[in-house]
Amino acid sequence: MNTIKLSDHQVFALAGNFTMGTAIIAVTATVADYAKQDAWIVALLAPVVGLPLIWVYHYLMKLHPGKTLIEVYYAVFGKVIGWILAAYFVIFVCLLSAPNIIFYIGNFVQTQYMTETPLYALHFVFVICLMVGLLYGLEAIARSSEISIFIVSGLIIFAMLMNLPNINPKNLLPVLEEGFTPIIKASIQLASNITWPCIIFTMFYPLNTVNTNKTRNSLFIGYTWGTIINFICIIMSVLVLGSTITARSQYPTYLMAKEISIGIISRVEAIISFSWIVTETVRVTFYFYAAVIGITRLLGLSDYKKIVLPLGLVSLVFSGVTYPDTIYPGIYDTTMWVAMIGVYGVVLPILMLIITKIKIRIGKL
Amino acid sequence: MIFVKGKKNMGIMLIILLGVFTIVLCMVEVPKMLSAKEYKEMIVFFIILSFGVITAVLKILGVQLPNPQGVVIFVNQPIVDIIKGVLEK
Repeated sequence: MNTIKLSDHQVFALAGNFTMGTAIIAVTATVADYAKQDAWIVALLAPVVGLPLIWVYHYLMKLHPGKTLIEVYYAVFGKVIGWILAAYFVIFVCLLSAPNIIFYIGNFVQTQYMTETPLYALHFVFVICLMVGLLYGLEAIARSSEISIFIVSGLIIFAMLMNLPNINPKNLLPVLEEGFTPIIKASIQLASNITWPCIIFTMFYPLNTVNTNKTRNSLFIGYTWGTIINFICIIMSVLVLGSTITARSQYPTYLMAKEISIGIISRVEAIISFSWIVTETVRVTFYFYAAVIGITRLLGLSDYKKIVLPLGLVSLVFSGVTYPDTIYPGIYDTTMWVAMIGVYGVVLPILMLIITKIKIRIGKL
Repeated sequence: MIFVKGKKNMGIMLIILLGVFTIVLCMVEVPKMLSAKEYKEMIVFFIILSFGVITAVLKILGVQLPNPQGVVIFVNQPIVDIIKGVLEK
């Protein structure tokens, strides 16, 4: 089961695609809503503050060689509390994220392209795609993301370059109008979407790689790559549309791509939606993979591929239940999701690192 | 029927499709698990599959399913109340 070994470049591609994921279209509006014209400062600040946290994940897993996050919970908190914490993590952080992200994709396609199509018909296609990816296994996912990362990044950078004639530098002024408080609040919202979910990597990262120390660099580079693309998207949205429209619209980056008009090149917003759907598919595959591996480990099963299709059916059903309308995700993601991923992505890893260090010092581990 | 309003046969079609999917999946997977004597896998497989089939049939019939995020809201409400000042605009 653990014979799959990812190369350094594959880890880089996975980290990059995962970090870009939701952020390039959906989170821009939230960030601009909190920080107004200073959204670009947030997009610089949040990833830099998040870098030590990625190091914490790496170091924690390095201290527990050959284990996934589930076994680390067992080793640190004991069998009973560890099992409860791990089960909550697997079901409500990983598994529940799959229908949520499928809803994001379906809702985007429905509102922008296929307004007459029922939501479930769109979800069905994405779930099939997800199932095929998972049945092929982690290596196929890694290889496909290896191909897609440069195409996706290239297309996004191309769209942003095409947008250069439309920018208005006055949209960035005044800088720091209301001080640092809105920036910190917006940073928490951005980090809860791009940095803290990287805890998902620990479900496969040191286990399925050849050399942990070498792979660390590709993890960091992939994360930085994703945040740079994300920064470009946010700053261009504010520059082209202004902070008010960015905050009010649901998909600002997509709206901005509609503004492109150079010679015969116009209406190229489809390349943005293509890139977003590709990265988002990588992200949802990841959450689902983590959930399936987690359930396998929690119940002590031998192979994860048996439960992929039944769980796919469950996620398809719940993709229309978890978010009943389009207002609900905005409220849920800025409150409950931040609290939940904050506990599992920030508080628990740091706590576990300290406990592990103490246990190693007194010789119990 | 939630899929297509006004077309009542659609729901029956979907239930039949769901049945075909379930039967084919069982026919493919169960002999494999039986020959490998993986009984634990089989129990988990059937629990998840029956949960999926029941919720799918209820959803096709138009029943309002409870939202699993209710658990998340119940657990995290105290944390959100404490850090409310940080999360609000």
